[in-house]
Amino acid sequence: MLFLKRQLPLFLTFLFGMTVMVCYYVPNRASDEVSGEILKWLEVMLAVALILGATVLVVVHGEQILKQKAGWAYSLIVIGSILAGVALGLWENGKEYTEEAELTSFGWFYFYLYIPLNATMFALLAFFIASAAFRAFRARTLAAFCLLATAIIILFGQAPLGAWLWEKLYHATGDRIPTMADITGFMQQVLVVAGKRGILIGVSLGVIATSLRVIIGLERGYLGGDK
Amino acid sequence: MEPPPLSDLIGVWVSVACTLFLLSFLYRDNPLYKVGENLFVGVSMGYYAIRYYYDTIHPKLTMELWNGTDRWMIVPAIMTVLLFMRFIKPLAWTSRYAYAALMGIVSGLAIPRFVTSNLMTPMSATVKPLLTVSGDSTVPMYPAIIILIGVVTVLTYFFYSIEHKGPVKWLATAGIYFLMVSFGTSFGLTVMGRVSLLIGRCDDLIMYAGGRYFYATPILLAGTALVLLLWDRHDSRKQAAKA
Amino acid sequence: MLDRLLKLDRRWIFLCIAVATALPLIFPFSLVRVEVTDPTRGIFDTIDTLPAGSVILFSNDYDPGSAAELRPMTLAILRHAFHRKQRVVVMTLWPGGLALTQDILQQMTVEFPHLRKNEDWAFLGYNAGQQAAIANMVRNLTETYPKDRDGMDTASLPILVKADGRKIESLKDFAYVVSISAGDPGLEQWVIYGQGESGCLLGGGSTAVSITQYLSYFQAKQMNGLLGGLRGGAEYERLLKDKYGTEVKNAEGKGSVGVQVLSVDHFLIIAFILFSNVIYFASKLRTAASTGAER
Repeated sequence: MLFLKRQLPLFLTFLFGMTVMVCYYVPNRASDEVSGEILKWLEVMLAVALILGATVLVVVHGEQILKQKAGWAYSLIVIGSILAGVALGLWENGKEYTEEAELTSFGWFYFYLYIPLNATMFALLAFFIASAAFRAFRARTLAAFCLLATAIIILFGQAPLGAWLWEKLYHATGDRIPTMADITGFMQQVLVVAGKRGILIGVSLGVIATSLRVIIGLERGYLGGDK
Repeated sequence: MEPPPLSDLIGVWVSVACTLFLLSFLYRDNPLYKVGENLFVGVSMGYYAIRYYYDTIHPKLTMELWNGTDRWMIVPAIMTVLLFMRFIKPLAWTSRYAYAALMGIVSGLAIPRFVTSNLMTPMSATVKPLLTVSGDSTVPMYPAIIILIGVVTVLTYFFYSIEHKGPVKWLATAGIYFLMVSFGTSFGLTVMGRVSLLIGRCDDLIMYAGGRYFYATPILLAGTALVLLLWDRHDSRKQAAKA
Repeated sequence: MLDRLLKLDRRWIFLCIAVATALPLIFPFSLVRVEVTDPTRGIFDTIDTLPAGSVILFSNDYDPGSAAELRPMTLAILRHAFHRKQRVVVMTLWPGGLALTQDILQQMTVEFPHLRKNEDWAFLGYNAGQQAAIANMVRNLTETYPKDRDGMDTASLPILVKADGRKIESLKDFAYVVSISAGDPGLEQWVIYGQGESGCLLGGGSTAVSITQYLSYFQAKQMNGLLGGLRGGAEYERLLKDKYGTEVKNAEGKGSVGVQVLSVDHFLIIAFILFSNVIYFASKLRTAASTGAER
């Protein structure tokens, strides 16, 4: 049983991982066809995994309702809206528009429910980031000052009004100071590139190392417990 | 201006209500916000499930198997069944095969491509301008030197295998300043991004405030405020009674 | 008094932001022109110099959560491409981006009535494969998208035949690949799984939040152009307006309007940061002075 529960899954990971890698490094017609087929499997499995996520959500909220836990009425809203979306989608064959470019009921669901809810959820963050700027953004240390000063320069330079004011100052000083485009350009295309590239290389090394550990079976967290 | 068709008009009112329900969180956490929040989760999931099915699963799995055009699609079909086995406790362990295949393919896909695009190319772009004495390099020499110093110092800061003291400490400290500039820029740009999204919502609310949409925004704004006020009073009384 | 200001109820800050955003939208103004940056010019110049009839792949990788930021640049790039008589194959890797993209394409067909579906533009739809979809497109486009959004065989679409008669079979056959992305899957995946292996010419736009992440790719020439957030859209609109004036309908769109509102909000937030720091240091100085006096 240990073979079926532990060793076979690890072997599958190794087999699939190595096959995909070999296909990349040994390009020929056969490897191209194999990798194409495996990628198609991955596309389908990713879509199914996402549906699995939706199913888990229904199960979790279903339990909330059945056991009448605190806030179960909100779970009813979650399940009700999932079912409404699925029902309308199936009814309209997954189309948001008719042939005459008019909204279907599923399109109505998308444009008048999904769009405002999704867009507002992210728009809310504008208020909290402003509040954070006021309450937590303090130049307590030299490094914090560096962060704060950069943020102010970027905020000033990205606003057309800031760039315009700086241009007035630039002309008033007889063109002896750098332009705002020069300052923000230098910051973004030199200093930020330097910092972010360091992070990028570090993160990539981490991704490569972790992926290798997964393929050779050292990283097994994704299999869950031993049972 | 002509009023929109009834279905669109109802849609606009629903859309404004949803927006205001979520914005009501700015006052404090309240039932209207919770309704909006849960509606958001459900509506998104319902919509996504249909998209996953109609745009990928149906054409690439169901149809291929049905028409017999690709018999190898039986492999992801089996994996699909195994993925759902996690809901049947005695057979839950079989879903490991599907996860194992997923992880193997994703990892195998990532390794060579990350090595090329996220490791070799950025490293070459960091060093190459310094080695180009003449030629087509459009990057002047001094930014290239700063970028190289930045990359080395940031990597030193994240390198914990050696103790940060002496020259290593100096390098790591320089790395912190490069990181601070990066994070400061990210913060400034994040503010810009979030405010842009707010502009989008405000733009819609203003558009729907007019007579064409029967003053959806002001009427629903007043309604939301009234409900909040009543709920606030009710909640304070409840808290007082508890105390 | 100073301490009380530091602990100001955050709802006052929310109110300030709401007013600073809504007022300039109710009373719009356009005082200042936005300056164009090099990364923006990269995409504009590429589309401007591609010969008419070139086929561009346009991946609209965002959903309504980022549409306010990214839609202006999407519209500006598409207007530019269609005005230059280029052909555009559109797709999305975000489920929430499908109907949004269809809406944008409908707007384009109204603005450019001469456009023929499947010849001047085509919509392949959504693919849930994320990075796998991109990696598969590197080897074979029609296997990744066997059917277009309307269920037509992708292989039979006339848009996939280049001006010289050769067929577009994979990513590298496109004259230009553009991804407007709000995260993952998006520009990063296009660079790693698409450009790196196929060597295609890649440009793109992203939300302002993630722009710093992509600057490294731009500097390393893995991308030849990069638009950042609403401002990126406004910059592109300005380039379009400067070069083509009224030839291109609605060249000055929501980006140009929105960026003026951004100015007000940015100045308000700068004021918040400076004000809170002045109070913080004044409060610290006062505490230090009172401690000194007690001694």
